[in-house]
Amino acid sequence: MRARVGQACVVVAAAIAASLLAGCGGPPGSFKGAEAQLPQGEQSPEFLDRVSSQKHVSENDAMRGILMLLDGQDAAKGFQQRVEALKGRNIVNSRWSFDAARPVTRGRLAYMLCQALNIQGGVILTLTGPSQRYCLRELQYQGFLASGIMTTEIAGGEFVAVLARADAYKNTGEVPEILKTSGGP
Amino acid sequence: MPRVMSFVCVLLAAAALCAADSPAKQPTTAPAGPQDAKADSPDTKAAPAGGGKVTVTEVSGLAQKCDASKEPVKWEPLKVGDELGEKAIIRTGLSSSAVLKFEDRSDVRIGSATKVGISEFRKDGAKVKTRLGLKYGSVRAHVHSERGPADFRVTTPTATLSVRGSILDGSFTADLGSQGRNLQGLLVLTSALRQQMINKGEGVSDNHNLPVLAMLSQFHAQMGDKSGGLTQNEIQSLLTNGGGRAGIGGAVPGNRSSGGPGTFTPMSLVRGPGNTGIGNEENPGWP
Repeated sequence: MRARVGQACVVVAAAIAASLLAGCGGPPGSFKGAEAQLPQGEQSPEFLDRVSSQKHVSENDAMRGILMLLDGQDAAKGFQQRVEALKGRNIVNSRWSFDAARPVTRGRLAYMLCQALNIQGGVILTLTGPSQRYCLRELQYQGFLASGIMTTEIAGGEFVAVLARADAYKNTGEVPEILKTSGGP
Repeated sequence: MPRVMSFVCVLLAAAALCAADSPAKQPTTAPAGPQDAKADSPDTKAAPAGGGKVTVTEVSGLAQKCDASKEPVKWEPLKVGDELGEKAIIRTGLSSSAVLKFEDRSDVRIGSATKVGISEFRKDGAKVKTRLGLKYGSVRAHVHSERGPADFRVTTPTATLSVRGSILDGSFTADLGSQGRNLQGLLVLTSALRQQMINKGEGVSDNHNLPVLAMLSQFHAQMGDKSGGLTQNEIQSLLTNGGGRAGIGGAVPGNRSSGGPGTFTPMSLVRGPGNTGIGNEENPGWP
């Protein structure tokens, strides 16, 4: 009896660990809304303005933001191209499930930014490699993101603020004091 | 107080129209917006003050402008040499910036990922009155008070930063609120809860308000009056005591901006100097 309970505990723990590692929200690698479109020819001022008023930021928009941060523009025609472009640069985790319309979480955004900006982080992040949890903690520590847990969705205004900090970091190597959050998870 | 004044102005303007026996069509037109009301107000007509000249002296990366007083609103690329008037709105993209020169009195550098509007720039004799509305992003203003008296303010959705002969760094981000850093001279931050003077080298923010605002933006607290909103006492209590009580009976809203009875718009709580449009109380909002 005890052995069975023990086995069950191990299975549950493994399932929880797997879901945490892979990210919740669908089977790993699944894809929804591959052809989802965003406004064509949108430049970063328009994009930021549009997103700033949104209650949530979709994965599609978040990935456009990351591409604009890196390249100054988003040349992808649809969500799938966006994901592939980021996968190719190791910015998104290929084990994630993707859904164009689903709001992006703080954990995913932190993961993408850590990878995009090549933020090394502390001991655990260095030893274990990037994970949503520790990327988020690192970015909170560095003043990119305000406190909050990794599964919460990010609002448009906050996304714009985080992108502005990331943009400054990319150009100067630090988050300007005037934009910095207080730090700490 | 300015709201009361503008309301009185609207009433006066309406009375003048009636007295002039305006055509029957006149009253059937859409209600005059606050901007229209301001344009018609006797105060504005009588004022000797004139709109100053704002010139774009530097643009880097992608920046766009629009004139919010014109319909339809049309965004155009911002170029060096452009002259902007009141109600001009500027937005910059990533890795972009722009510098505006406000005729003989101040320079403003608009940082990347910023949206800012010129709600007022007027010369009244020697005094220059400047009001900027910062929706998001950051600005650095250098007010040359040695050239004459200046009343320079940057209004964010949660606070107003008043510059008195100084160099100011100001920002507003949705997760952090308003921040100001005084690089020279004197800076005053006025938010719903307090007014604070900041000396050279000091910084200030109103982010202590934010847990309340953040929570309110996520919740329609279901306590209080019959319509499901909050009583004035509860609103004041939330603002004074923090966000703890807002969690009681909270429900995730469908659409916060939908309006209607019981709809709770957190920014409307902060009836301080900030929180409206491009920076003045009369402005209807952003295009």
